[in-house]
Amino acid sequence: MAEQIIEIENLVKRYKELVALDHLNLTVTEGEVFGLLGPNGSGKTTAISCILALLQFDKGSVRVLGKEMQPDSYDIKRQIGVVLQNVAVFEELTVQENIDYFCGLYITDKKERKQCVEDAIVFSGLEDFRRFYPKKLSGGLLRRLNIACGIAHKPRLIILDEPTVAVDPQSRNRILEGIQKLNQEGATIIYTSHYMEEVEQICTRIAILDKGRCVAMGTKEELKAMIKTGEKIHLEIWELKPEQLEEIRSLRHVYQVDYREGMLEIRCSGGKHNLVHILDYLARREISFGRVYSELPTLNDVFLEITGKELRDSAE
Amino acid sequence: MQVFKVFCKVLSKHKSSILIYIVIYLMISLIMSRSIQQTGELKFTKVSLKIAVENQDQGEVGKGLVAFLEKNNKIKEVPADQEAIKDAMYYQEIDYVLVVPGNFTEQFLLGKTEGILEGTAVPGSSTASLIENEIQQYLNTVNMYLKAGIDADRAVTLSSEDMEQQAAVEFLEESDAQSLPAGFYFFQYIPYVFLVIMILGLGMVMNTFRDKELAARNKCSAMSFFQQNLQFILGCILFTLGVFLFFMITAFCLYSDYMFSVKGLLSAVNALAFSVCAASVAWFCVQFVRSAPELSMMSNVISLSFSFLGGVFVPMDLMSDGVKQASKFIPSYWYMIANQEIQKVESLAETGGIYQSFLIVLLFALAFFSVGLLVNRMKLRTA
Amino acid sequence: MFFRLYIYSLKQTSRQKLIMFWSLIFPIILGTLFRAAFGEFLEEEVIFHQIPVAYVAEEGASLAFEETLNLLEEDNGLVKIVRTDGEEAEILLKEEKVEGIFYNRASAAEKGNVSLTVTSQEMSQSILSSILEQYQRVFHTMGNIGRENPAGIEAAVKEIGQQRQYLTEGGITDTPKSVMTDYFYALIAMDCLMGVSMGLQIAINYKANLSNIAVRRVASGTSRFGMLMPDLAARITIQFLCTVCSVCYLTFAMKISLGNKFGLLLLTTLVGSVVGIFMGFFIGAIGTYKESLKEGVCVCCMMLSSFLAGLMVGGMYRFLERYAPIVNRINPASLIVKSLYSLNIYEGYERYTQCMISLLVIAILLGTGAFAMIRRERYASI
Repeated sequence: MAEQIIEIENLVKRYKELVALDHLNLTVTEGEVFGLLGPNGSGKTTAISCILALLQFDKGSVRVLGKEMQPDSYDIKRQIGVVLQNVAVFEELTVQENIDYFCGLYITDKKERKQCVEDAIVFSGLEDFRRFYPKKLSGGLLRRLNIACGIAHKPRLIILDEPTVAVDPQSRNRILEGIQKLNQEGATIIYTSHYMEEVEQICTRIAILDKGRCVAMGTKEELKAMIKTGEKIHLEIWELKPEQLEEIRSLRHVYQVDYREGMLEIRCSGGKHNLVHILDYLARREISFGRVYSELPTLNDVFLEITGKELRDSAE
Repeated sequence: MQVFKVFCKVLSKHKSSILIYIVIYLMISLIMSRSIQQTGELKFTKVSLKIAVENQDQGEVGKGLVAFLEKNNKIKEVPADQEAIKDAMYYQEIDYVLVVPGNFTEQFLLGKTEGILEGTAVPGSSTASLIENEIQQYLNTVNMYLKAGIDADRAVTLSSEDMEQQAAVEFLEESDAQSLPAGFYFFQYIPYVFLVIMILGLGMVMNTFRDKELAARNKCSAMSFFQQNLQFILGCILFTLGVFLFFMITAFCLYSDYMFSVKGLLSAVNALAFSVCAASVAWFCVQFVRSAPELSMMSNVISLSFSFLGGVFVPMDLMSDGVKQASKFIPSYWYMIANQEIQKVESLAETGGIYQSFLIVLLFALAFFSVGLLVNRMKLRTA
Repeated sequence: MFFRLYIYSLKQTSRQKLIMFWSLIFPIILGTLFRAAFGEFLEEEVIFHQIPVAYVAEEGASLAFEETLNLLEEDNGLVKIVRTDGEEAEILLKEEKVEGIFYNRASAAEKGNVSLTVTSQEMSQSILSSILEQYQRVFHTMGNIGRENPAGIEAAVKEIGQQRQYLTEGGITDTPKSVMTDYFYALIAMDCLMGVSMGLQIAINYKANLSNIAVRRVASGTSRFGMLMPDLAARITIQFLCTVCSVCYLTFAMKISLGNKFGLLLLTTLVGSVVGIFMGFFIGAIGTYKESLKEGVCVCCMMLSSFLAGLMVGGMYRFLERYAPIVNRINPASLIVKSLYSLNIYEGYERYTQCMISLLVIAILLGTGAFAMIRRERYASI
């Protein structure tokens, strides 16, 4: 069995009145891309700060690489790479100098470091910007520099806290691909975001946080299996009588029906051929309809069903 | 009044920093005026110093000299050794050390005069040279008597009498004779303090408005450039008046007699004119500043250079003519001129020259403001 | 490790144009300003301007005073005499064409025949008054001689213009010193304390609840002191070099004599720089206030300290010694000024050592205070 990289037990963190982490339990296994998903203010960054022993917490324990994490656990810290939400680089140092500086906080051997810095520059595609000062970089490049500074020392565990905020789609894709590549090279990754698409795309296991608690955890398939919704069917229907709505609701596997502004949304729990059944029904009742599409549940649906809130709306 | 409202809000956001500045610089100006007042008062009156005298001479002249010095000064023992003397000077227990050698009278009577006494002034003391002057003059007088064939004993007593002669100094107006009121010294340092506070305080607020994106957004808005600036200037005026009132209230509390006189009134007007000028200097400076640290640097550079060149810290008398000519291009110079003129004024009728200075200060204000506006517009276009 | 971080810290600090401006250019500007403001005073001899003065003589007044004045005008160039009548003299005085009026009366008045009338009490006026005073004294002396031994009067008159130097300077120091040196010492003190801004930067880059960079650094695999020490060392180096530049500028470009013990002068500025850096570091370590506020406090502390050491108004030291001597003992800038003073004016190193020890104690107190505040390694909030 793979090693447990992070074990968090009953972690509680309060900011005066506000409970930021409420008995949080998490485990991350070696080799995973572990996603922490949740709206802003759900405690993702707080959890990460606790893992890094930056924050005092009120209760619970954090074990990283099998050892209790302390502010002076430098041997553990040396194996962690951190990329935080806010860009943290020296304005006065060039791209290369910045990477070398931060890398040097981990690796003392000169030769090894030189190679690492070179790799990180290539990895983040900053070859043409070595001598640039951060001020001159565009938003996307700056983010890539921010990441390069965090991962240059080839850590075993990489923690990325919303690395793609305010990044253009191209840079974002590049970043996401890079993260997967790092994972393939053997690094365990913790990735926080409120963009569920990103999390769905790259994470092998996901924990959903809300109000400081872990409300669900598992692979995305597991998570989706957790909820009732198996399929969502949208139909464009111009006219629908209330009794017909009731009839649709009583169809097999259908558990929720929403009719608004000419759009009918039907949620089905599992089962197959749901769309066929519905179309069949509409044909029988001679109800005319326009566009039809069906989709599988997203993490947003998972979140919605568990917390009763939209993930997307509470973001930003 | 959107812009004005935001101005006030930003101002209140920075109130703690601004208050720190105001209080510290008020303190500085109070200490400064207190210390300079003391040195100022010494000018026409006799100083009394602490003089350590070691008289090894038993002759008449040596004794006479010590007796003469004793009249106006405190005579102390000379500390035991060189180190002890230095210590005493270092801690200002003595201002001057005079050693009268054993053969002093003998030498003096023989007509040998050069360097027969040993005197040491405390380094850095400007008053010590006065005492050297007195000693020189006294001995000169004694010498004259001796040359005139009068015996030493008599010469010493007569000289001591002669030294009591004082110049008959009269003042053209009675008011000239009064030593300058404490209020005057308070107003002396206003230019420095106002410049610092205005540049820092207004700078902080203006910086918020001059944020690139924010400025662009404001420019895009439906409110005219003129309207926006008008409200903005209104805010600046409010701040300027606030600072001005704060200092005037302090002045009224500390120097109420002075403030309720014509001079006090004129001083207040002078300060008001300068506060307007300082605000517009601030407006001008802020056009070139991007961050808070830059701002504090700017405020120090400008306020110190304006003050040194304008004669706020160092009396204008000490400056060379070239520098004096240059300082006419600095508003604090005209403030200082007015501040001195005010002390000669008795009634509002005779204030012509002062108004002229006020006017010049206000013209400077206008100049700085317009150039600032120009820079502002140019930057908006190029940004 | 130390050396590498030290080099990076040097690079990083020296590229902060603003801070470099603060520490390097500002003292130079101020030094130049001082030089301009005190220009005349620094010359070996003080050259006074000819003081214009009106002279009003009644008919039959003694000519002795007029002769004295003529002597002063022609030989010394001290005064410029405008001979006129009473009314016009008053007008001239009011219009400030002259600095004073000498009245020479025929009949003896209370205080002697000659009197001086002025409108203000400034330097020119006090020179005029001392001219008169000296005249009165000599006049009185002559009167006495005339009464006691009229035969000797001729011999005495010969003595009048004689310059005699009775006093020799006691051997307390070899260094010539003018009052203005104080200002330049205070300038050097301020220069050292300029380090506050850099010290503040250290704290900001070090405390995880103050900046993002600090978060990243704290989360890294290097020990906290391993990062702090190179930072401190680098900032002190840069600050010290800046101070050395200013001192060189003052000495070599401005030709201001700062004494001949150059090595110890530099040692003082080094210790002063350490105090400056630690002061900023200490202020930065307090609480989680906004950077702009802390910057303001730093600058205020620096200016206040320099002000109390006599940067703006000379004679501050004497003033404080009288009313609040404690300030002179604990104010870093005063201590720096005083140590330069004791170095160059008072020979012997006892007092100098005392000042240096005080400075070091202050540095240590600030340092330990700051360390105590940042020692906490986990934060309540970031």
